[in-house]
Amino acid sequence: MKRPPIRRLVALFAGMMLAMATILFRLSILQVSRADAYQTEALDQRLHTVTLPAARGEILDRSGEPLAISLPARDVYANPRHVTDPRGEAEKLAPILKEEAKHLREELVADGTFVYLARQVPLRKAERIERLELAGIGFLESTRRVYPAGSLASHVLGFVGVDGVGLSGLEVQYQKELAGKPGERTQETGLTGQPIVGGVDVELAPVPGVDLVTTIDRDFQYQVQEALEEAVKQNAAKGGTVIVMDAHTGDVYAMASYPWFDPNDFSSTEPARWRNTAVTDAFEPGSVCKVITAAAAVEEHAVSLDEGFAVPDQMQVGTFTIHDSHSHPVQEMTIGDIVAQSSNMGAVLVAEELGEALLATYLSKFGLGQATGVGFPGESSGVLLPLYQWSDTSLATMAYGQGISATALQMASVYATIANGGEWVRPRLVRGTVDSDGTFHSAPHSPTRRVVSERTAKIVTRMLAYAVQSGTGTTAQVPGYQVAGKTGTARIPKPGGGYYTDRDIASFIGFLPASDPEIVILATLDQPVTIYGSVAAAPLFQAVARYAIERLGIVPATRVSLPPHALPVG
Amino acid sequence: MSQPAKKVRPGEPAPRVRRSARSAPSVRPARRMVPAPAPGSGARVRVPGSPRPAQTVARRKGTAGFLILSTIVAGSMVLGLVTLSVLLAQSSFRIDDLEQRVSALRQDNLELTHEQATLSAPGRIAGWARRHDMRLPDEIQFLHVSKAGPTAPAGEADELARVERKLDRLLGADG
Repeated sequence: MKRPPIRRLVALFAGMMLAMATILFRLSILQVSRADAYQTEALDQRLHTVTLPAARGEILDRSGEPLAISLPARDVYANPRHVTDPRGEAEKLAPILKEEAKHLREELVADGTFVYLARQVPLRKAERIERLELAGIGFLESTRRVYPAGSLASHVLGFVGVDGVGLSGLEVQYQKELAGKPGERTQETGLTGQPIVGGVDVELAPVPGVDLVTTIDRDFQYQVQEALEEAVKQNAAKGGTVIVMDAHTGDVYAMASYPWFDPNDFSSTEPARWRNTAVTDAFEPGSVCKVITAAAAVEEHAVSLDEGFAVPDQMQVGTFTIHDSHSHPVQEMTIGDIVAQSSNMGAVLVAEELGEALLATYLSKFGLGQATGVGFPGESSGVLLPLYQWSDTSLATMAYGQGISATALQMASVYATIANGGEWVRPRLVRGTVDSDGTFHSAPHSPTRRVVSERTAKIVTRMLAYAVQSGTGTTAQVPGYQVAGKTGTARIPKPGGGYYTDRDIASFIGFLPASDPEIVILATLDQPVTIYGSVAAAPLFQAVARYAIERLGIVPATRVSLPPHALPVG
Repeated sequence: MSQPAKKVRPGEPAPRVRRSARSAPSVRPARRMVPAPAPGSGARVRVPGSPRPAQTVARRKGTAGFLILSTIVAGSMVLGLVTLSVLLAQSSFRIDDLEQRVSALRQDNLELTHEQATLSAPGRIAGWARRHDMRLPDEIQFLHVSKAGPTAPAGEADELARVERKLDRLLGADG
């Protein structure tokens, strides 16, 4: 046998060494120089991060009854490429999801790899679908917001969208606190998606949102809504508003605007109904504003309580003729009579004694033209023209509440100021929060500011008590209790200027017991057929006051004396 | 490997010679003939094929004991490790099971909270009451009992006593 020449062996050896060196070189690149990059890339392929949604906090009434809660749910989706029998699957899904089979079939044959079939499906329904084991149908963890009491306080609570983010009301105002902080779980998984034992498994737990404790009293809110709905229907009104506030703390026990909506199914209602008009819509308050004129005049000693005014039923102001609600001969009235009888002409005479600058100052001091600061989304500031924009009729019309606009909440705050001894207190809708440990954190007390002296507040209270005892507000009387309040009938302005002659807002705002006020109640009706606040709104006030006495345990107090008056007490 | 021979001086102890299998073939000395012990002399003589001496038997017994003990210890350790592993696995399953139970209970709690809130909603209760021909009274009278103590004025105390009697009648005083 001939042995291979040595050269050939050397060449073969060299070739093998070269191949080995190449492999080693490549290996060193993979394992040494770019090892970190490849390791990271490989790990990235194996690591999967899933977001863990944080539980949204509940919204509770003042005694802890749930008004809004979040329940676990699932989003149902389809991967049309994996769907084998679109027609059959659509027919099986339709009755469970309460969707048309045709619509579902269209979704199941759509282009792409992902399409939602239904969002926020209750767990039981989702489990029924899961048991069907349909090809190409998948599920994503989700939550759904439910409002167990339906339309109760719907304007205050608001609602959340399909992605769980607040869209209106307290849901959006306290979105950050309610939403919490989502967590995430990172796992090292194999090809089939199964976690690798001993691999990376890091969980960052979600932080649940806090529970919000409102100032709303659930049962009382229901009674208020019942009374408001009945009043709206009785008076064939377009709508109405009721606010019940604590006279001293500013806590809102009930706030309702008719018509309301069911936040569980908000999309079936027109968006205009979603607005909390008690806070977002300003209206010309009318005669209920005379309380500011009277308080300013008393505080500034512009008039004395027993001073008599010769009050006509109409007068010329600039180029306009303004008049009282009914014709009467020239009458002698004190400021108490003017408030009690709700005389527009009398209010103008008092305002003339006061002057434009002081009236403007007090309108502003009582909070008109500026948001209350309750923080509610879309809160209106109302309209109070700066003094330099006042026309020659502004003093006269503003004296009886026309030519300015305010929200229902602003007007309730005006009366709360009188009830609270002359100190304005910011309204409050949230008492505090409850964290995940169950600890209650009280919200800070509402800020206050002195508007008029306690003496002035007491004098104005006597005028308001007089208005209910023998003035325009007799229909607001509550047996056993002395009520202080004021009626209002305001014309609705036309968009282009001027006022509708057949559209009014009837209102009554008051508090009780007069000598030691506990609650302030505002009742307004939008365009009632009965027009006047005394006929339309005062009975609504009375009905709400009765519920309040029962629910909040208000006890009668001593009666305040009536102010000096020139008219006979009826 | 063989080592060179060392000279031994007189008076010096003889060097120890290591013997290894390689260095030199082991040469067993010829078996000496042992004379048979005289009967009654008491000397112990091991006869090939006869039972081993007691010392060797004891040593062997010790070795066997050690082996048994070692086996037991090693076996116990293996068994312990297996048991521990099983227990850990069981605990892991139990934790997983409990976590699922906690999650299910939390879910049930939420569902029950929802149900409770729905059932106690004033609208539902009012609707139920209406369907059963119930209605609120037209006139509600409130009895306000003052916090009058023993030092209360006579008139007020009388009023309080009157209210108490009325309440007793309504609630059944003997009950």
